[in-house]
Amino acid sequence: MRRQTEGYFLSPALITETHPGMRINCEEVFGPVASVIRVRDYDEALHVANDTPFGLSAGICTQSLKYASDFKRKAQAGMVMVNLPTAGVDYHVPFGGRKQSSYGSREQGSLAAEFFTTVKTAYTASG
Amino acid sequence: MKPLLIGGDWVTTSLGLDNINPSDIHDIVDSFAQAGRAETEAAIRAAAAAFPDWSLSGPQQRHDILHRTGDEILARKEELGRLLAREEGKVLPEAIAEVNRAGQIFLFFAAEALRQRGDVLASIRPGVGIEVTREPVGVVGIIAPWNFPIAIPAWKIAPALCYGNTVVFKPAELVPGCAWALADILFRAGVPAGVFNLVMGKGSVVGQAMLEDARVDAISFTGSQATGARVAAASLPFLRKIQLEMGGKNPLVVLDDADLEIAVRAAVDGAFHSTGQRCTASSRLIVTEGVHDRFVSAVADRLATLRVGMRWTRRPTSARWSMRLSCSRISTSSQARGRRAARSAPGARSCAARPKDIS
Repeated sequence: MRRQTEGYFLSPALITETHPGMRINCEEVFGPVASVIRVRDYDEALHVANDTPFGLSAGICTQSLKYASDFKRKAQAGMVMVNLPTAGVDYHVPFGGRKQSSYGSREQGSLAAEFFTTVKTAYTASG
Repeated sequence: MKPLLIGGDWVTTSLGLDNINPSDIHDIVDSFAQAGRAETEAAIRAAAAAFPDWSLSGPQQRHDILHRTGDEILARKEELGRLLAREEGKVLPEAIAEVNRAGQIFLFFAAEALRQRGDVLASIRPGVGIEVTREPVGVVGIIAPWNFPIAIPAWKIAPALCYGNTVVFKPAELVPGCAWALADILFRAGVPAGVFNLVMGKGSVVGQAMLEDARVDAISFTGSQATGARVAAASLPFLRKIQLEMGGKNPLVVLDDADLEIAVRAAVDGAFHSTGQRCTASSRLIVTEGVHDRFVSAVADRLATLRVGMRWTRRPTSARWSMRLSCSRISTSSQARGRRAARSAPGARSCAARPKDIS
């Protein structure tokens, strides 16, 4: 897009009627682009949500405790959001993912100590 | 030219690189010294030399340095937010919020420095006691991305210093401004010589020198999958400790019983705020049949109200969903090719970003 200043501007894009196997649903764009996948029911939604090599964050919007609870347990992601955006996290709790999104121990919060320290076990006899 | 920080000295180099404002490419933020292999190795040497004393430093000293750093970041959040917006391209409210977060992170780890604890257990052998304690790892290499130029460095540097490690920090090439400001604050907060080192420069030079150096005991990396794989492969021969945060293709499921307003807000915020350039951004909106059409229509309506433009101005309070997107860097191949057989929603612009628009 062109704007008053010469710079790098993009308009947001929403891509509809996509299928899970399309490249847009397999690779990260890292821009203002989202795609919509139509599914029959919760079970198919959960399957599609997990059908990715990535596992950083996953969200669900529902008023059902049953589906929210099930999604929190079964989502294959390091962070799960219920009725919240997948992005936007607190600084005092662990941050990180699973599968190909992350490797190693968590960042932030008290769990940051896991990466930035090594453990020593010391034995002492009273002599 | 803004210098490197190596062994407690500010070091200029013969080569400086201009930092360009992505929202106005004629606006040069500043010029930054560029480290080569020699400067990177000097920084690693300084960090290794500083480690024995720093690793045995008292928690009060570490607390005080981290606390002063956090305090100054918070006190200067408007100014640092403007710098962040100018060099990275995100909108000013998001930039100030990110700076605020960086300050909070330093204060959190300042307090954590005073809470280092371990376990005392009885041995299975009578008369023997066991202590389980934590000790610092050593020299930590930090390789940070461009999309959060101060928060991600903060959440790597603050815990590294908190637990007694020394740091060699390589910021992303596109955002040296916030990195330098952070180094300046840490330096004046009293971090001892060599404990924190700043080496700006190319990943292929500075990052590579860090990967190949046996004195780097651990690397914390956030960035692309391809580079993460290189960090892992290069670290394996040393059995180096690594922490990698890479990509995502994060799903947002919307069920028929969702509150539509909450769902639309979550989708638009998660997918499009910060130009969608967050590793946690929602990129797959998975919607059940009963609500699908209403959801797509409502999201498209909301997107039509977004405004794309300069990063400077605050979001107008009267237009809650207005925002300015300025997109500095984006990989285009997948979005361009992913359009086959898909169509863009009415109301939202089509996937308009052609490579020539993005450079």
